[in-house]
Amino acid sequence: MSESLGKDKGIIYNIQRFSIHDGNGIRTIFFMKGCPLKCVWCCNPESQSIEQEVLFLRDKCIGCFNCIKSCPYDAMEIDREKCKKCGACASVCPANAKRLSGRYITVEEVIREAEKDRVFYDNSEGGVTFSGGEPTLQHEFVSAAAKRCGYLDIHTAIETCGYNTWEHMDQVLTHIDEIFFDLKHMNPEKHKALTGVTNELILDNARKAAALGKKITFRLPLVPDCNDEEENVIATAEFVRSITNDHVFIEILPYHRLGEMKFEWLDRVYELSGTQAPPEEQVARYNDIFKSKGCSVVKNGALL
Amino acid sequence: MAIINGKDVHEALLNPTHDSPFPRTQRMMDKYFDYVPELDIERAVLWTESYKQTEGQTAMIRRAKAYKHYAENRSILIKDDELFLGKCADAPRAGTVSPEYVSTWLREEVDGIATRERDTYQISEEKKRILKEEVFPYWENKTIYDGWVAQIPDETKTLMLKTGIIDAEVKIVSAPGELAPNMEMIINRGLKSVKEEAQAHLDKLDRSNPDDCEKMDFYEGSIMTLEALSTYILRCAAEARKLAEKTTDKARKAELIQMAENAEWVSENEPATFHQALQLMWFIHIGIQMEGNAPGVSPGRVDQFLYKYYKADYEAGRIDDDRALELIENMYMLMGENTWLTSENTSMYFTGYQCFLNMCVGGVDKHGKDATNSLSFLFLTAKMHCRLHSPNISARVHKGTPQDLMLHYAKLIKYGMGYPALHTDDVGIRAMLSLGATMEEAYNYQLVGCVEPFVPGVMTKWSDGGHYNFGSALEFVLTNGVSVMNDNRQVSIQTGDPCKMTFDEIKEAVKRQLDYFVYHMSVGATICERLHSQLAPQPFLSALITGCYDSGKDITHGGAKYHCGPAFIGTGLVDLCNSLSAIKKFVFDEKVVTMEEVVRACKNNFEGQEELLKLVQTKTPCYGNDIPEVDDWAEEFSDYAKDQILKYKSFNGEPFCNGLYPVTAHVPHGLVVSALPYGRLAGTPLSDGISPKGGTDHEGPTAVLKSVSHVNHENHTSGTLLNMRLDPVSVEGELGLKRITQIVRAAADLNLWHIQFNVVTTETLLAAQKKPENYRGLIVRVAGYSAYFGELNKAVQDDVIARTIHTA
Repeated sequence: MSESLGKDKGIIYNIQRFSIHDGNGIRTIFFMKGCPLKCVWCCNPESQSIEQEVLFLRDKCIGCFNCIKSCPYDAMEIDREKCKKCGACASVCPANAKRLSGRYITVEEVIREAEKDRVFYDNSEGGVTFSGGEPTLQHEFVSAAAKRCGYLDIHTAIETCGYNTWEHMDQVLTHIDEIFFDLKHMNPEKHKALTGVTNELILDNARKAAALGKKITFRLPLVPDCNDEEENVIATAEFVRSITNDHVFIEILPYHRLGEMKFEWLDRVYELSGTQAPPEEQVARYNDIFKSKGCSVVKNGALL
Repeated sequence: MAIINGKDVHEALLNPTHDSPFPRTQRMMDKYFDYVPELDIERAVLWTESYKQTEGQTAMIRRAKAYKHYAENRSILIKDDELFLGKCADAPRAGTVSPEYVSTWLREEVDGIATRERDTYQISEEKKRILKEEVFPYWENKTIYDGWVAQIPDETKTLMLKTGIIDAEVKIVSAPGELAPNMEMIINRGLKSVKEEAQAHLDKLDRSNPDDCEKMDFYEGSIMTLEALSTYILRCAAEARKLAEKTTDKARKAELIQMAENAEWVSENEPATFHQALQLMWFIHIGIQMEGNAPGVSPGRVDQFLYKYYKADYEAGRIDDDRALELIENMYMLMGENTWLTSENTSMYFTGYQCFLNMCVGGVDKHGKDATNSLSFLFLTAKMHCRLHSPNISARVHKGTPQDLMLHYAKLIKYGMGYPALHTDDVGIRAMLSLGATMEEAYNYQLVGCVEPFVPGVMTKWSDGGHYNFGSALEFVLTNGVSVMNDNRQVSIQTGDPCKMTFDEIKEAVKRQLDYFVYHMSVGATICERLHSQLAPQPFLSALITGCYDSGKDITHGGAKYHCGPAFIGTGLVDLCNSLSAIKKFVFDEKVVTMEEVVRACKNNFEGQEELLKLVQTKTPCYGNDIPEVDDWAEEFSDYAKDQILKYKSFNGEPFCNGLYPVTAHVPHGLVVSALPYGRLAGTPLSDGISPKGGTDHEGPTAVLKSVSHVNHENHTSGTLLNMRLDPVSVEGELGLKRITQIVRAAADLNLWHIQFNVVTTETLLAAQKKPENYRGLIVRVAGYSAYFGELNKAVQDDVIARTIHTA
């Protein structure tokens, strides 16, 4: 982690206002940069590195050569080896084809941004969601920001992959009102193959998070040929059932390939090219499995 | 029965069917789209006949006599399935020729009107011949248009006549309209009682008293027109009886007899049933159209003034909600046939055969309490079933609006027609108070035309007295008063060399240009209003406006209790803000371009400056993204224009008003505005109303609403307009309905005056796929992810389109 990050300073790659699928009501999402996982289906690959990165949208380039002229490192159009991610090219690009992903932010900036939409939170029981990347990777910052939100009566939610020390997780979750917790695969080996890490720590944290008594929704991103075996769904259902209380819910997030082009913007290879969204019947069937195992299933925030 | 705020709202009303349950409505809908708009020349011929007989008499009496002649001789048309009598024209969707207003332009345009670009009307060669031989020659140099062109000063002519920079045509090429007649009064009293009131006034006057002469003309004219309408109503009844005799269909026979009885009764009296109340309302609307085919004649708060008739019928078991709904749907189908005939130029500003007949539901009663009732729901449901462009349905929103009614608004919104237009009571009430209304009157405001608040029955205001545009003001600062698109003619004042100005001086120069615009608009409008009073007083309409009988003056002479406006309508405010933003950022703050380059780019439409074009298009901080510095200019310049406009007094002695809604004026204004510094190209549309320029709002709906809230809405007493696009995923399902209500309530909390939603359809997404530059702000949202639609590749776009079909 970059040394300059801490409780006073975080790094984000996007702020999305009027978010309506990640927590109750109308929300502002702070997408925190940096993630310990590298999921093959990641729809926001620019979230993975905790450092700033240059995105290059080739189809937007008008061929003005401003970026080449301005690059202090001679990285030409974009040589990822030579590029030091300084963003000089992005600042001179007239077409917004070069973009610097990642900007540093203070807690007060988070609050200022959140306050812009207070009237919408008030009318919809909405609030702020910290997403990522993995927000707890910046545990000091997110904890401080969430605490300040709580003080200002702004509802907070988090989307987490659950991969962090419980100490760091807990430091953040203490100030969070609602939790969205991904369960990507129940088999540790497959989990590792798909995300780069095994799942023991995640499952352990899932148990502890459920025990906090806050509203928590476990989410299964259902990705064809990755984690959509019925066996995995059953195992997930049984796991969630084993830690279920009145505040525990489960939701399937069907795979979409909207992140595909972002891999191109980073000159990275998208391994799932050609994968289609899972069929609706499959999603419905799996929801039934969850229900039959005694889980409370939700879709877009509403109980099924 | 569900009880909402102590009022009875029948529970079954909360969950309407998707389509009309009535085969009758469905049949009428099917037929509606087969009607080809034609020109109706009956009024032109009859009016001209009468005028030829009345030379030498006063305008008031001549118009009353012409009205009478028309009412006594116009054709009567009754179609199958109709439950109400009376038509605005001689055929469904026909455009009625009112020769005293339209002859000058129609003489030139009649040969091409069937094939022009917008709002075409068919006309036979025989009818053309009649117009050319019997109508147009008589009106030569007698129309309001002719008078106006002859009377306006040269400088005004240079700036306003056929330049498109300022457009004052709307009130010189057709009847003025834009009015909220006192429907509640006329329905509660009936025509006879109003005639008697006029007669009582008349009886007190004496022709030997010079002060009384004009008043007597007015009362006599008014009585004559009211009687003439009764005559027309009885003629309709007689025709219905004739048809009833002929038909073998027993059910239809009974309907026709019922319709005849209704008409006979309301030709004089207060309605006894809901059906009759609707019938009288429709006849009054027709009566107004007979005095001159005009836009924006708006019945207003139908759920309030018709409620007692509905309630009485309901309690007596004469009607149930199904029957009430069928009647309303039938009424909508007839209203949808009413068109407003416009000149080719005016049709650019008001495209789409709209007559701007506006009805509203919801809001508060005269004590400020919620006024929702079952009719509020029924009038919305009927619009879900009669999916026509007209009539306009508006809805009022206040803190106490029941959530069930809000959800009903949302259900109608999801049909994607842009209805209902939603209005914030707090803002409308304050606007009416600022025009001098009492608290009780202000609570009772209604909508007229598109978005214009009026106190019903006591107020006159041409809510659209002409259009000006902020884009030209900025252009003329850059060009020193020369209009690039008008052959580089000097049409406005010289405000100096822009390249020698500081940023503040540029802003000041824009204000000098606006001063000049406002001055000439007021000159033009005053001449126009005076001409209307001299040539086209309105004895019929004035019977429906409180104050006219008390003062003995018709509305064109300032007889109404509140005479406001005319209003001038500003367009392109957002283009001005975005242009200032680009100049400030690139010329003054970052100094990456010079002012000379900006001026050159705007004059040459960015030719040879493609890189600059790309830069300003992608990196200008634009209005609509909740950037206070930019949004504050919207406040500053809209208030500035309003202050200048309020400095001048209209023909009847009251200040003019301001409005910020475009109808479709942003298109023709755009045609005459050069390229602008933020990268809008020459001749392309300006931003509409106070909505962000399409494709420049990147932060989503909440940011748009925050930007729009910088405008002080209640200052613009002729209304402001926000068109807001919502993606289909955001409004999916029950949660989507709730989401819409949340946005609307938040908009009300932000003191926005008006909002209407455009729910993005699959068609829009397909269009965006073809022309991404027009849809740059279109955001696609799914859990944990959002992106601009235009930035997705084709395959992914196709996925998103598939999703929208799925969620529709």
